[in-house]
Amino acid sequence: MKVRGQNSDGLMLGGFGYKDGEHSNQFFANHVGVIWTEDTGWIDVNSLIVGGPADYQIVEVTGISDNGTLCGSAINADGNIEAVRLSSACLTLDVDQIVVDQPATFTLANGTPGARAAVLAGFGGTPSIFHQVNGWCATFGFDARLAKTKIRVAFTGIFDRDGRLVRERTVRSKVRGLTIMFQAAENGTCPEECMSNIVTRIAE
Amino acid sequence: MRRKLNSAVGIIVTGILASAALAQSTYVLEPLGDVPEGGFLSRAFAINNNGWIVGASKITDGDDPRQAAVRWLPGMTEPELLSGAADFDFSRAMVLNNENQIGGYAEILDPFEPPKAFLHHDDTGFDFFVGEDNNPDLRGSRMGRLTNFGKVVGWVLPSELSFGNRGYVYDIGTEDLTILNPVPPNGNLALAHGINSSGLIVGTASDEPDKNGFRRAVRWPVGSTDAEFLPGFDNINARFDDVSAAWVGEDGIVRGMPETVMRTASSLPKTFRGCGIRTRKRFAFSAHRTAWIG
Repeated sequence: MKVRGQNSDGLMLGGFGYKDGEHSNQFFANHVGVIWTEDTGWIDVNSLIVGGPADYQIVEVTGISDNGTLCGSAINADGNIEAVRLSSACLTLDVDQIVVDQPATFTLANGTPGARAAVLAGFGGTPSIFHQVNGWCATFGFDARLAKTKIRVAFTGIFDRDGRLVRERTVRSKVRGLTIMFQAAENGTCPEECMSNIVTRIAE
Repeated sequence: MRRKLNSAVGIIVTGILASAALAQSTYVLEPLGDVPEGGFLSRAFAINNNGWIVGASKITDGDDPRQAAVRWLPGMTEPELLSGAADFDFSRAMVLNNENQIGGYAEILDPFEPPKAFLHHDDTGFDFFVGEDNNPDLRGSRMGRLTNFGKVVGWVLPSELSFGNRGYVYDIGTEDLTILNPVPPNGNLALAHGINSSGLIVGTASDEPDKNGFRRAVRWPVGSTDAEFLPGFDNINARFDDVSAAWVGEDGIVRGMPETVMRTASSLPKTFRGCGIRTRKRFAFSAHRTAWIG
């Protein structure tokens, strides 16, 4: 086991494990990305992936932010080493390809039935953080402010009995060619956050 | 909802993140891609609370080993080269703090030119803060940690030593560089891996000459440039060949790694045998001041 990263208070560690006889980077493909907390001990992070493309084998965890986002490296479907981000998946957000002036389907899953959720949009910039605000504890990984007093809200809604929330939204043509980011949060989870992955789409 | 969020804009807080998110135990994987004109290889080495990620990506195709330091800003699905990275044969961005300051190492592929630690600024590019202008006697350097309070620790290779690193701590604000020594009187190697805001530095060092592979977990107390063994580690030092203190928290908790160095290389491919390469078994340890667990 080798430790390669930790969060700022040292309560979560990341790294990789390997078997006897596979001790160097010559055997990188045989490494296994792992994370550690005092409660869980060492866990193969590959067993915790619930969303994103298949056929990626995470071989190292090298960085951990204080909101639990991980970074590291994986062997991708082509057998190449590729950097990856592992976002906490309290919620799972999927968004159709965005074509301006045409409806795109937003699918939000893994929510608490009956709870309210919001999907915000942005174009980058510094994170927008809500801390104990009307039941919202959320850190969006982009600047969601539309102006000084407005926020880019794609939509809000209530999770159904299966914890799903599906909406169609149409993006206006003035954002054609721009890269848009979407992320969802669930209300009523304070002091914890319940965020989705960030979905990035180029408006066609 | 929009009204509620709109009213909340005035109290958007930056820099406060809920550590409770650590309790979440499932993840969504997002590939971060490669430099488009380069080869198919990228690695991420650090992430900060703003969502920035730094690492390296291959900048040429085929067997050419060259890599360049890169970063991913939130939402990016391909890395961007750090400004000036293309000037070097090989560079990696290894560390990152919450002020979005980036550090790593870069080199020109020359057996007589060891890698050098850098800090990177968007406007001025690569800053080789150890060696060159401010300390030409230091040949090579690496960075161990870049803190949110503007301190850097790592290790240097003094030019008068064919081997035997020295630790360092560098203050970004004052540009003061302090060299950290091994355990006196005979130690010949020291690496600094972690520092807390009180100025307590931890790392690994030797206490005898010519024992480069045998290191002990050490600390440099505030104001001292001589390493001393972490107290209470006698048992660990006896059980393992190398013991490294890698991180120290604000409360004095130390985390690190003991290793067993195996003398045989029979499990390695033939090309490695007899080359002096040792295999290592590594274990994680967690230490609270003088005790350790794990």
